[in-house]
Amino acid sequence: MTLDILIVDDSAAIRKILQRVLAQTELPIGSITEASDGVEALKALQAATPSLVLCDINMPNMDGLQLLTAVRARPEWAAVRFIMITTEGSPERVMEAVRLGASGYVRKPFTAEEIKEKISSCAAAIA
Amino acid sequence: MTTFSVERLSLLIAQHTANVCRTMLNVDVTVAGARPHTAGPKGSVVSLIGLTGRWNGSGVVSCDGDVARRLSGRMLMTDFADVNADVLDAIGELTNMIVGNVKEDIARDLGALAISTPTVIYGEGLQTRAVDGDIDARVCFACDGGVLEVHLSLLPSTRGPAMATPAIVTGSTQPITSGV
Repeated sequence: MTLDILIVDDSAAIRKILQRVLAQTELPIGSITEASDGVEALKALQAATPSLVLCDINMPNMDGLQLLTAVRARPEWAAVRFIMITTEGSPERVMEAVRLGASGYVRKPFTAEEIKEKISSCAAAIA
Repeated sequence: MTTFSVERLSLLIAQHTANVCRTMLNVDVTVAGARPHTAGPKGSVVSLIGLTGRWNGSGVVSCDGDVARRLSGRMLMTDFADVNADVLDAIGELTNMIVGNVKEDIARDLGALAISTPTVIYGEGLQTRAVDGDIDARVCFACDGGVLEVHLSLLPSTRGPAMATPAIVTGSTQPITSGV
């Protein structure tokens, strides 16, 4: 089973770095698509449902927690996993993300190994 | 009155800037004292983020264009001949990480704070002016052959947590080439 991944971050630099990290993994990565905010991400989800979303929180238009809430409200997207990748590291924000259904949380700045480890855990749960 | 000190804010800026630069850029930075950056032949890059909550203010990261080019190149593993949209985006993200992490720590003392998305400006003769904060720290770093400057300024909110206290930038901006 391949992992189709959607990267959601308003920073093109972070999207590029995550693409590079994904290219380094030995996981069966399928498609990788990008969105620069929650609104774009919802459009991408409607076009093709990914298995995993790597998602920033602090973004314009629709932030990561609003996106997660919108996705969890749609039963057809119940299986989509979310890993939040953000500077927002307070226990309250982490708890909120978990309560909304995030599978993982990575604090910026991050290493490639931290990202790979979280994706591997998600991939194991999906398989 | 808060007991939160300028020294503590300076220390947090130093710690988080060093951590962000080491983790994302693989470069060590050292505190360089009061050495604000001077614009090089490629102008200056100034990146601003607003802070709101019980305290309002701004975080500003600035450096000359050559330093911005080199730091962004390290982040994206690409050589940038000029300051372009990718360079500005990378500096904005570094600002987000530095100010965002400092914010998480100071929120323990000052209450929850929210940050805006960064605004990044590139130009010549840029000067920034933030409202004199009750808590105001400026730390300069020797970094990749130049100077990186981080400035945070905070004032207690008197009208509720609605408005950031803006930093003002003056100078002439330069057009940039489009990014990838």
